[in-house]
Amino acid sequence: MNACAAPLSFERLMAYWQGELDPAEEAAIEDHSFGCATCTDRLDWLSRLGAGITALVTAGKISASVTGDLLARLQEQGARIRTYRLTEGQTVACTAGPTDHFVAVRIELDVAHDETVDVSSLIEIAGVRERQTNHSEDVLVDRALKEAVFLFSGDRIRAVPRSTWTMHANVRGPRGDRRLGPFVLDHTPWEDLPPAARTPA
Amino acid sequence: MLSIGGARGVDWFAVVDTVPLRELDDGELASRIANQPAAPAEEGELCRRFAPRVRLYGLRHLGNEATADDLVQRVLVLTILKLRAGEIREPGRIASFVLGAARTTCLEMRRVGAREIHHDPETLEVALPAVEPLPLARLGGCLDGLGERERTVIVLSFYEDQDAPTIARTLAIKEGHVRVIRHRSLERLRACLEGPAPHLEEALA
Repeated sequence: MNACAAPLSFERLMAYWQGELDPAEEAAIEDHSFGCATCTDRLDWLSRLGAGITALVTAGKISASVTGDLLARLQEQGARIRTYRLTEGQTVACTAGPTDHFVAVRIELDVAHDETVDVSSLIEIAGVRERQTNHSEDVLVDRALKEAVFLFSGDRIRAVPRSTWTMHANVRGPRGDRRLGPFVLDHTPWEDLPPAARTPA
Repeated sequence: MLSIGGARGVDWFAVVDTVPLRELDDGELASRIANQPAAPAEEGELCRRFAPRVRLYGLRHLGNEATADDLVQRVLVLTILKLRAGEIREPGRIASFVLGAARTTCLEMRRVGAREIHHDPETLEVALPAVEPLPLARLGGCLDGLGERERTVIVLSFYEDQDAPTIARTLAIKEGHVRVIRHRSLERLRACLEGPAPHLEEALA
């Protein structure tokens, strides 16, 4: 059998899969893919990708900048999410319990619709001289709730040693740039906490 | 009960690997089924090719795996029976026939409810190929390799099932920008998943 001369792009197939196309465009894609093994394979890959991502999120294996709605939905589905809220200049003690699916960090940010936010983190690990940095560009900010929500997989945070995470939000916009923070997380591994401090999520 | 191809309990998906049927196009396969008194290997190959196409159509239009699999059974059984009976005027355009059958059957399933349509599993049953999931640990690593905004778009697209206009409103960006991010992210994920496994990359470094 011949390979497809002009395979449908993943974006086009994604638009079809999400129902974003009009009926004629949708029918054209179906007419093509029913006669094309290559494009069927590409669409099948998207379907399996979706199943895989859903499985990873459900199992608490994904870290991402998310919406408060997604967080609420995960909680409705029974996910155990340990949540920390930070305001500018605040230091919050944090950990990840042995059965936590996720750790969510909600940072209070008041930014305009035409501003974008990068978040930079300085990570100081106890007993390690060199500090690490982390940079997240163009994070999702809920402007109505005035917050950015970061979702971390429980596995990932449980692997983090005793450390301090100092975050700043670098806000960029047409009226100039500004820096908000620090927002500080003081992390202690669960097993190093005194029993009284080991609270459920 | 007869399995597709006429022999009971035979895995045609294994049998067809030993014949060059995969070199034939869909129309040629269908023509053989229509013109030969018995073409079990060709029937198996036709089902192997069209099962995923119909399944994907079912997932898109019916929304769940069970009813999509049901759609596959109904459409492929109909197709094979029609070919055997010489009732498909143009076997060379078998893809159009299968798509038409999928559309009609899907509409009927939605109209009356999938369980209400009569389907006698005692006459024919198609062995459906297994859907192989993507390697989750590998996928997780590939997702970690995306930028923050890319990963957000992917999670909102697939886990929250949000379309581009909805994501655009959520992120306060233009719809076109969402599509660009989505396109780039999907290409990167595909390349990452199809690339060499991480331990091999380290060994080769």
